[in-house]
Amino acid sequence: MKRIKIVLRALLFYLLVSITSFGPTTPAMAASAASEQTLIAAFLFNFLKFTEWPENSLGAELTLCTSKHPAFEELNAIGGRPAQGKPVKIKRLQLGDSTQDCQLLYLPQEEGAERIRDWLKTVNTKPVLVVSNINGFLDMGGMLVLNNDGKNLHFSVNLDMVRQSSLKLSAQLLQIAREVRGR
Amino acid sequence: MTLSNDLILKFGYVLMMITVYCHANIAIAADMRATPALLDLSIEELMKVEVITASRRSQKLSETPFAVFVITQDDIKRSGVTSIPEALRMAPGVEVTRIGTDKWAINIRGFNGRFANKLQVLMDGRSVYNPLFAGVQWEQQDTLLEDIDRIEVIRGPSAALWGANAVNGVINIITKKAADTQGTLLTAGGGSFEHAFAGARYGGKFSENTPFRIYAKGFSRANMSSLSGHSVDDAWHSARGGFRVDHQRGNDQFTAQGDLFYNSIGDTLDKTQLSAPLIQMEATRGHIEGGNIRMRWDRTFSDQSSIMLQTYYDRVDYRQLTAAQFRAESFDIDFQHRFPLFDRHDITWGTNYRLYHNKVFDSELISLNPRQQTNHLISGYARDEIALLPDRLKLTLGVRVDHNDFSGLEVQPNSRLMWTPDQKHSVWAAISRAVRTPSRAENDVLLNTRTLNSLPGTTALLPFPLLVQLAGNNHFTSEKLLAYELGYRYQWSQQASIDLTGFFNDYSQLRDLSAHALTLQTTFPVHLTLPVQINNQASGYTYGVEVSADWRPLEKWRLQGNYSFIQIHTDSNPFFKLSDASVGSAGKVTPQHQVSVRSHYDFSERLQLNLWLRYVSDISLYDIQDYVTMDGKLTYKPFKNVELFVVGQNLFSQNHREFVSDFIPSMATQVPRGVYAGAQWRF
Repeated sequence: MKRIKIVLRALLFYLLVSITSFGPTTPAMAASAASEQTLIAAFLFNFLKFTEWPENSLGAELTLCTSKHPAFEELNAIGGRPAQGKPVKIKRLQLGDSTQDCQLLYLPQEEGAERIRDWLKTVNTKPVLVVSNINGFLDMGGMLVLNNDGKNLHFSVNLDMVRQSSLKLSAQLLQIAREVRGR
Repeated sequence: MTLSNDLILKFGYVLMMITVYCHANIAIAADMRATPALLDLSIEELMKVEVITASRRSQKLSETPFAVFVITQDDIKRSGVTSIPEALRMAPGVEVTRIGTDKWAINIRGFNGRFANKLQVLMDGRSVYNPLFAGVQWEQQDTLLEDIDRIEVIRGPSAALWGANAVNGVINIITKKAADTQGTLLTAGGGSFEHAFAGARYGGKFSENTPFRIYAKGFSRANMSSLSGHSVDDAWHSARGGFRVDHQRGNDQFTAQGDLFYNSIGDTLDKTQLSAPLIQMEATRGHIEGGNIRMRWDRTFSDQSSIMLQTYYDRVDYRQLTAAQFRAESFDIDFQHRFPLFDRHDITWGTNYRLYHNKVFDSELISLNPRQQTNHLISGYARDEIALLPDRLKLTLGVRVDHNDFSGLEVQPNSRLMWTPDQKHSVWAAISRAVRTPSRAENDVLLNTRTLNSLPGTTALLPFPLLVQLAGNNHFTSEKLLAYELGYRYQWSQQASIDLTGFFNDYSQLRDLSAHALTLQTTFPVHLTLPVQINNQASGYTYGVEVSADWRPLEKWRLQGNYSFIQIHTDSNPFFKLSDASVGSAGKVTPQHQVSVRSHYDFSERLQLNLWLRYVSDISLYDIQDYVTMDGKLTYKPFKNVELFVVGQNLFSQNHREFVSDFIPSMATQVPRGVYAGAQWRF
C-alpha cells in the first residue's frame, strides 16, 4: 500500500514537472557555447538596441547592412525582430552600393583590410554605426570592433568616431566594453 | 523498503529529466534556429558564451566517436617512407604487409590479403577501391608525398558515411590545398632498394583567388628476391604528374584536380603451385597506365551549413599477365548537404551515383564471363549528430541505403554515442552494420588457382594433372558485419594523451568454398578439372584492442607508440580451410600483436633524428616468423630552405618475410634492408 502511494506521488511529481516545464526555454537554458557567427549576430542585435541615432535619420525600420559575402545566414534570425520599437531589416550590400538607409553596417573580416577601408570611406561621417571583427579595426577609423580572445567574444569602442557621426552609445554598453577610446 | 523508495525516486528523477529535455527541445524546435535563445541574452551574458570556431571543429577529429588515427605531413616526412602504403604502418590496427616491390596486402582488423576487400580507400574523396576484383591496388595510389596534408585512418565500419565496403575501416588520403603548396620544391635521391627518385612541384597563382600547383615525380625501385635468393623480377619504375587549381569566389570554393601515371612492374609465378603444361607462364613484366580528373564545388552558408558537389572520372589500363589484363573506367557524382536543424541537430545527407565500366581480357590464369560489363551504384545517406547535452553528450545516427547490380538493395545503419564529461576525458560507443558487396569477379570469374600432379599428401602420381579452378557465382551475395565498439580517450596534459579502443565484430554470410565433381578435359593438354565455387556459408567473429599514445617529454622530443591485438575465429568448409587464406584461415594470416614506437628528436633547428621501431608477430599459415625492425631518418638543414637526409629502412636484419600472395601465386619474397640519401630544396 505504502509502495503504491510512493509510486503515485512520484507520478504526480513527474506530471507536475512536465506541466511546469512546458513553457518556452528560458535564457538560462540557452547553449553555453555557440558558433562565432551566431554570437556575432546576437551582439549586433544588442548594438541596435543600445545606440541612439539622430531622429531625422531614422525611418520605420532599423536597417542592418552587411556585405554580400560571406552569406552569414545566421543574421537572418534577427530580421523582423523589434529593437527600440522598430522591426529590424537585414540588407546585403556590395561595395559601392549606397549606405544611405543603413543604421548599422557590419563588415566581416573576410572582406579584407583593403576593402574594409574602402567601405569606411563610403560611410564617412554619415550616422551609421560601423562594426567589424577584423583586427585593428579601430585604428582604421572604425567605431566598434568585436574580438575573439580564443574563448569569448568582447568588443571595444572608438568614441571619437561614434561622436563624429552624431551617434550616441548607451552608458551601459560603454561600461562593459573592453576598451573605450576618446572617452 | 528504503532501497525501493530510492529507486522509485531515481526513476522519477530520470523521467523528469527526460521530460525537461523533451520540452526544451520542442520549445527550441518551434523557433527553428539556435539564435533566438541567444537573442534573449543580455550583452553581459553574451560575453560569457563560449565561441565554437571552425578550427576547433576540425581539431575535433580526434574527439569524434570513431577510432581515428591521423598521419600528418610531419609524420610522413619524419618517417622517411617513400610510399602511401608504407606510411600506413604508423597507424594502429592496420596490417601493412609487403608481398613484392610493387605489391602490398593491407587491411584493418583482420581478413588481410592481396585482394583485402573490407577496407575502403579514398584519395581526395575519390574511391580507389577496385569493384572488379575487390580490394585496393596499392601500386596505383601515389602522389608527391610532400603534397599530402594528412591521412585519416578510421578503424571500424563507417559505411553510413563512406559507402559500401567500408566494413573494417576507411582510409582517407587528403592532399593540401593549392594555396598551401605555393613556391617551388625539388627533391631527389637514391640508394640501395630505393634506386633513384626525383620530384618537382611548382605552386603559383592565376589570380589572388586562384592558386594552383603542378607536380611530377618518378622513381625506380629494386627487385625483391625469393626465399632461395633469386630475383623475382618485380622492379618497379614509375612516372606520375598532376595538377590542382582552387578558386575562391565569395562563399564558393571550386577545385579541379587531375593525375596521370605510368607504372612498369613485374612478377614471377610460383611454379610449384601452377605448373606446366597447364600453365606455361612463369615471369612477366607488365605495365599500368591511368589517370583521373576531379571537380568539386563547395558553397558555405555558415559554420554549420554547406553544400558540396563533386564529380570525377578515373581510368586504368592494367596489363600484368600473371594477374590480369583489364581496362576499367569509373564515373562518379556525389552531392552532400549539411545543415543545422532546431537547436541540437547537425544533419548531413547526400546522394551518390557511380558508373563502373570494365573489360577483362582472357589470360592463362583469369577469364571473366562476360568479358565486358557496366555496373551502376546508386546510394543515399543521412547522418544526424544530436547534441543531447551540449558539449557533453552527443548521439550520432546514420544510415546509408544503396543499390548495386550484384546484391541489390543494402541498408547500413549505425549509431554512436559520445560522452565528454570534461575537457580531458571522452568515452564513446558504437553499434554499426556494414556490408561488403560482391565484386564483379566473384560473380563472373574463372580463376586457375592451382595445379596438382599427385594426390595431396601422397606421392602417388595422378594419371592426368589436376587443375583447381575457382568459379564465380551469380548468387553470391554481400558479406555482413555487425560491429560493437567502445573507445576511451584521455588527454593527460598538453604533452600527453592516450587513446584506447576495443571492438567485437560479428560476421555472417562470409565467402566460403565448395567443390564440385571432377571432370576430364580431353583437349590438349589432357587434364582433370576440379571446379570450386564460392558461396556465402562461412561466418566468423573477431575481437581486439588498439592503444595509441602520444607523449612529448621535452619541447624537442616526441614519442608516439601504439599496440594492436586481434583474435579471429572463422567457421568455414573444413575441406578448404587451409587453402583459403582469405576466410577459412583468416585467423592464421593476421599477426595477433603489432607494436610501433616512433621517436622524433630535434637536436637543433638544423638537425633532426627520427627513429621508428616495429614489432609484428608471426603468421602461422605461411610459416612467417615474428620480426622486429627499425627505420631511421637523419635530416640536416645547412640552409633554411635546403634539407639533406639519410634514411635506413628495415635496419635490424638483411631481410625479413612479411606475407604471401593469395589467389595469384606470386613467388614469396623477402623484404630487404634499404638505405637511401637525398636532398630537398624549396624556394
